[in-house]
Amino acid sequence: MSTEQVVSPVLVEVQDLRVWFPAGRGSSTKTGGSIKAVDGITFTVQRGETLGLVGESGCGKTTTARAVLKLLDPTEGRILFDGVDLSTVSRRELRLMRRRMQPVFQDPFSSLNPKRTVARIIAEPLVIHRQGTASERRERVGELLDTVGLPPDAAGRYPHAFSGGQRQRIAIARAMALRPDLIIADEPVSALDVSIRAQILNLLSDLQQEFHLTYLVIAHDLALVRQVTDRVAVMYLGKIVELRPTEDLYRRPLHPYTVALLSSAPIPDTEAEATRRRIVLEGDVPSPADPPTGCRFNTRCWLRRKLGDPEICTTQAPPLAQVQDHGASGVVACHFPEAVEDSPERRETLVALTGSRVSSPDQELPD
Amino acid sequence: MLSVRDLDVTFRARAPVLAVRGVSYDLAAGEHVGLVGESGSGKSAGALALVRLLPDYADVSGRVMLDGADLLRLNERELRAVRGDQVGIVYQDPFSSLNPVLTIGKQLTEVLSKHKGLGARAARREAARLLETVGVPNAEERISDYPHQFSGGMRQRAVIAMAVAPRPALLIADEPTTALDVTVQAQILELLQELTSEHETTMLLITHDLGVVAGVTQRVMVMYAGRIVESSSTEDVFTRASHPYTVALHRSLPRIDVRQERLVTIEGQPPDPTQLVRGCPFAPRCPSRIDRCADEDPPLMTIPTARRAAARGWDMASIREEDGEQVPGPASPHLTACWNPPDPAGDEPGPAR
Ligand SMILES: Nc1ncnc2c1ncn2[C@@H]1O[C@H](COP(=O)(O)OP(=O)(O)O)[C@@H](O)[C@H]1O
Ligand SMILES: Nc1ncnc2c1ncn2[C@@H]1O[C@H](COP(=O)(O)OP(=O)(O)O)[C@@H](O)[C@H]1O
Ligand code: SF4
Ligand code: SF4
Ligand SMILES: [Mg+2]
Ligand SMILES: [Mg+2]
Repeated sequence: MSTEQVVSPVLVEVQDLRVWFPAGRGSSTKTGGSIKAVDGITFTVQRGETLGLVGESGCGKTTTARAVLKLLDPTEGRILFDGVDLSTVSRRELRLMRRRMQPVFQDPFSSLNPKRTVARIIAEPLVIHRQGTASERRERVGELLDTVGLPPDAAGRYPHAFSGGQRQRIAIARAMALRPDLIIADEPVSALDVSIRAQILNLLSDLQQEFHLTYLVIAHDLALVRQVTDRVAVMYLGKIVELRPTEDLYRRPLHPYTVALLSSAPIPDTEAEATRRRIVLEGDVPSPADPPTGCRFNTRCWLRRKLGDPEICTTQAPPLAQVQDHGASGVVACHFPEAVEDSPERRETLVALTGSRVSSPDQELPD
Repeated sequence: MLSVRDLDVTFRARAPVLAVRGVSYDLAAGEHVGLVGESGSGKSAGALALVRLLPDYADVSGRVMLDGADLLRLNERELRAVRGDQVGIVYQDPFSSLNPVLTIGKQLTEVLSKHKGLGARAARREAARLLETVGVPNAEERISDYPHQFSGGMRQRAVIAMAVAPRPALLIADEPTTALDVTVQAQILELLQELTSEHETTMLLITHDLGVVAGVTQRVMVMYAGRIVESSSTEDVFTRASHPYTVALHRSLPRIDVRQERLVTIEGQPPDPTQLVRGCPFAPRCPSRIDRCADEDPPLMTIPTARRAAARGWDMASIREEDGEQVPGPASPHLTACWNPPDPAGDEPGPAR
């Protein structure tokens, strides 16, 4: 990149992405319909930031990640990486792009080949992309082991000799081998023990600082997401329902689904747990093969029921609209965000979270 | 009601796995008790050993008294009657309790006719009613569904229905919500809470997640490296944790109420379960470590006893004399297996700052 060129702050741009899978056998749609795993989502990832992707299982997080990594082709929509449309690039250019984005998966047990030494695993991307000579690669492996906090003698050992946390370090070293710009981490710590999670998250944060990395992190633990992200996109049934700067989202959530998620999060505090009233979402998430018309959340929405079932919820899909809240920013897809703002449900949820005994005294209470 | 003494579980292998080491505790009728610890700490092995649901290569010793009988000495036929009738089990993965080729209704009616001696028609009606009770909508119709037609949350509800159908005195729930999403997790915990309170069922709730036990249990036992290292009321474990491991665990939990500058870590890892540990198993990671920790594995003691024992160099025998036989139970005081428990009221930062 030439220096006089202005660098766009946007590294990844996802425009109206749709990924539909053919509905398999035994599905209830007789029309041979599709599973609309991701159904029209738009977002950007800014250079140097960490964007979180949250939502219940099956809402399309992993599919989104795989589309960005171009491990699958979108049914519709575009993905631009550093301004270049991934669907129009040549094979050669795509190889170059791929170097710059690397995945880290949830399960460090199945993502590492048990028959290869750690050195070979970490050097694999270098070999695939024909980087350096054998001795340069060896040197680079040594460097990477050091970067992720593993001893040099780890190189000659096999994955089974390592604990879950150490294996995730190996996976991170492999992801770092090609000096990527973007790391896409799909539930990077959920398979790890509580006491090890913080170690890995701190490592990721150090690497981000040192190497100016951009992260797209998928996670379902809302407490953890608050710690590690700059912005958060909340997904429900193939759609983004709210995308906000992290602190805005936790202090002033505006989508009824976000409020319900926060209300369900366990709080390690007996008194808060004893006194809080949870928002219970009725029923199950509908099938992505046959999503509800209008707003996708309408079959389970507590606010809709409170408002006396306004027709618009079942007839019109709410667009992702700019948040109209004093000083807050981001986008939300609900026809009645101001009703969420005024609701006792939101207030109670926030009080339960911030009023828990573990909170620090300087923490402002939501109004 | 249930009384466990000196439970040891060892998996025979090339390098034997010392999964559970000398665990003792009592459960009273109707109590809800949490068993918390990270994976590999021996929670499942310890719980499954109670009803001998471990593979043949597991050596189990100790005593497990349930209503006057030692479960470790029953024969297979007697044991089968205990499982189900007296002890219900809910696992993390509902599929492991369900037969994929039988309808949910069929499996429920089987349980009901076996344990309650109901006839076919009555059992079917009762099955539908039970499904309804555990919150499966359209139970009458869903009863003819196969397990794979249920969502994860609904499957777990069905498994819970099967586990509570015979009205067991003890329900062991092993990570019942770990595989579920948070919104469903909250519902399942509420359901367990309701059902067990209604019938005064004793519940042993096993989880790696401290947050899960906060709303559902009265007491908590914390496990580390196959041992119970702390036992107290649920309230105390959150506000006055006294074992350094529990304290560290609290501090390393990301907080949902505020953004932290940096996550607090517990450096190092739990000990290798194939190695005999000398001294306290937490010692290599412990910020409160003192000399004694390297040589002597601390027993469960009251906190004042722990302090005096360390200060005066009491040997194990005199600790037992001073402190009595300290076994976690409904009336036991706050216990810790630590020679130098941090003082939650003092400078040592406890979980509640
Ligand atoms: N290869 C595939 N074929 C068919 N359906 C799929 C495939 N991958 C994912 N799905 C479906 O798409 C939906 C979204 O899945 P996924 O992106 O994995 O969700 P998440 O990561 O949020 O749990 C789910 O209903 C899932 O069953
Ligand atoms: N079937 C088994 N065979 C061999 N080792 C086992 C088996 N089940 C558990 N273990 C080992 O026993 C120890 C305790 O395991 P477990 O009771 O499952 O822990 P937890 O339930 O706390 O995660 C671990 O080291 C584990 O690897
Ligand atoms: S648009 Fe209607 S159904 Fe959708 S979230 Fe808002 S209130 Fe609920
Ligand atoms: S006995 Fe010693 S090493 Fe073990 S937890 Fe207590 S202070 Fe730490
Ligand atoms: Mg996923
Ligand atoms: Mg277990």
